[in-house]
Amino acid sequence: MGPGGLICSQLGFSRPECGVVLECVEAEFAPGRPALVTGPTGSGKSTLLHLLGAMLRPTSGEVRADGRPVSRWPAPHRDVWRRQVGIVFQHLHLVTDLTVLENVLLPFIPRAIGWSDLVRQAGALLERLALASARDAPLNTLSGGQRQRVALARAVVGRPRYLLLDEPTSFQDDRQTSGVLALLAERAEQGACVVVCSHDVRLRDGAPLFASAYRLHRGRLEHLE
Amino acid sequence: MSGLPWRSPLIVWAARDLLRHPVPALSLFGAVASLTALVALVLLMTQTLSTAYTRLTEEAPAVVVRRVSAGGWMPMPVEEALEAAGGVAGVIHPRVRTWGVVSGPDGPLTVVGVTPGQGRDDELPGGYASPRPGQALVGSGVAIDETEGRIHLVGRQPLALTVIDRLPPSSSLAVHDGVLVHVGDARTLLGLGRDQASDLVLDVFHDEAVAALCPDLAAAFEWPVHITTRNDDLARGLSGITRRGSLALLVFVPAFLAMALVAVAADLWGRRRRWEMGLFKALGWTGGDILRLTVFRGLVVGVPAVAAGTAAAYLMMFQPGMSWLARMVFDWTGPAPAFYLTARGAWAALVLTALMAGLPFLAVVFWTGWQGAAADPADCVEGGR
Repeated sequence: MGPGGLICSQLGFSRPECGVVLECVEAEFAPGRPALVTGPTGSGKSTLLHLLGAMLRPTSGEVRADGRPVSRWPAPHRDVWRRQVGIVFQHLHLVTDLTVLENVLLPFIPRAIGWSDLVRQAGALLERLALASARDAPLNTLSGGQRQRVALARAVVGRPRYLLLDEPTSFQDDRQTSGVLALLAERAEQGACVVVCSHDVRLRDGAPLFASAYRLHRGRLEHLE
Repeated sequence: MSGLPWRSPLIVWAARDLLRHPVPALSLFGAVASLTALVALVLLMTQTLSTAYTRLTEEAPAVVVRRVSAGGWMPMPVEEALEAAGGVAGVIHPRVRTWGVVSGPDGPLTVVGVTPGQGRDDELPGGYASPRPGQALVGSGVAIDETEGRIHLVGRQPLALTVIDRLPPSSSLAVHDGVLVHVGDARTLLGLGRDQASDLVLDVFHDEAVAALCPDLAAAFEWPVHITTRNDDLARGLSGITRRGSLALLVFVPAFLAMALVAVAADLWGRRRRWEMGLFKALGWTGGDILRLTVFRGLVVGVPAVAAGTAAAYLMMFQPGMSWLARMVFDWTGPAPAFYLTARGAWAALVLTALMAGLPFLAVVFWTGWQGAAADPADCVEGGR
């Protein structure tokens, strides 16, 4: 096994319709050291997260997870590996006709292990994210900020090894943003590899959480000191 | 949620998933149940008629001899007929029968003459008393005036008889529209003399010898006869049932067309949910998980639907009051006759139904699941909703 965390080597991604999205991305996202990736809209932040989560395959280079070349694996292997990934999508991708709790537990439906523990964890997490009263409510009755926290709860509930978050605070007020960051700090302390993509200035300018910061510009990732 | 198989999270989720989309789920249930009922009805009908006819024929004598002339059927002199048949080697228990068709209150009925003393202690099978002169025992399909308790029959002469009992619906099909009367009354109705009978029946030592006996039998009588054997009757009857069954099988053509449409609908339903499958995979579900979910979902709908369809077909066939089938097949207008179904025959029909209705459905479910399992998380993250 090689170095821990997620490592991008010469990572590139392009689409036929819009050309090069990412080019020669070199980065190392270590466990316990949350990283922030900023950049203007359309710079490829979401694509980078999808590549890190093995949901897209790079057109060049590779992503290694704890030393394993995940991005080169066939789809069935990547599917199994993705169980270690918690992700918050920019567009949330929640199932609107399910309840909040069902959405949070969705990744664990096929796994019949420790179900009651998971339900308890999910309940505690929802309480922490000020969603306890909405636990059994249909998702379509929630506000945008509440939905975003549901997506966050879904990502972190299983204590995944890798946490990939795309604009996780865009709909949150300052108090909720602090709560979200505290939760991420806690997970990082527990050994999770946390990568946040955001152009939220509250994260960029003042959050002490992030051990490293990057800027995506014209398809290339620049490390910010 | 874990532990017992039916408490597997995926099965529970499959049921929950169907509740999320009740209209397509119920439509699918209805379509599969209806198609299954249609297929099962045809198969059960063919099977039950074959069984009933086989039983009926097995109860019949091995050989029936009728006197014929250029004009058709003729009464048979009893003494001469018995003597002639008894003289043929291999023939056992020759006896004459007095029966024929007369007009009843609601159409033609079969009158069967019963000679008192022929049954044990003057009783018919089932414990019914032999009808005395002026009395009648009627089959379950014969309509009578219940208040009057009499039946009016018209043959060569009209005759009003007191109905002493009615045979139960479970009686043989042979007496469904039959009226059992004293042999004297039967002769009166049919216009036969005291020494005449309708035909002669006999048994043989070995069924295999029947065909060889026929030429000897024909030669033994002084008048032309028409001889039919049980095997001939059975072959003719089953051939007719097969023919009618084959015609009924034509319903399978639209049934399979409908099944194809159900398959297309199920497939489209599955394709529309490709985004969701992609999301599940992005959240860590494997292709196997999605395939299992789809199959469980199909089974949760399909198994009860096939069971309900089969049960509906069974009830339509065998519950009393469903006379439409008998009317369609036999032109009976009265209460439905009792149908027989052997366990073996039922199994064959039900297994065939499950294969013909259940397998195509499961194949579609599996195909849809297979496609879902191949969904790419990119479908979700790139394609959006």
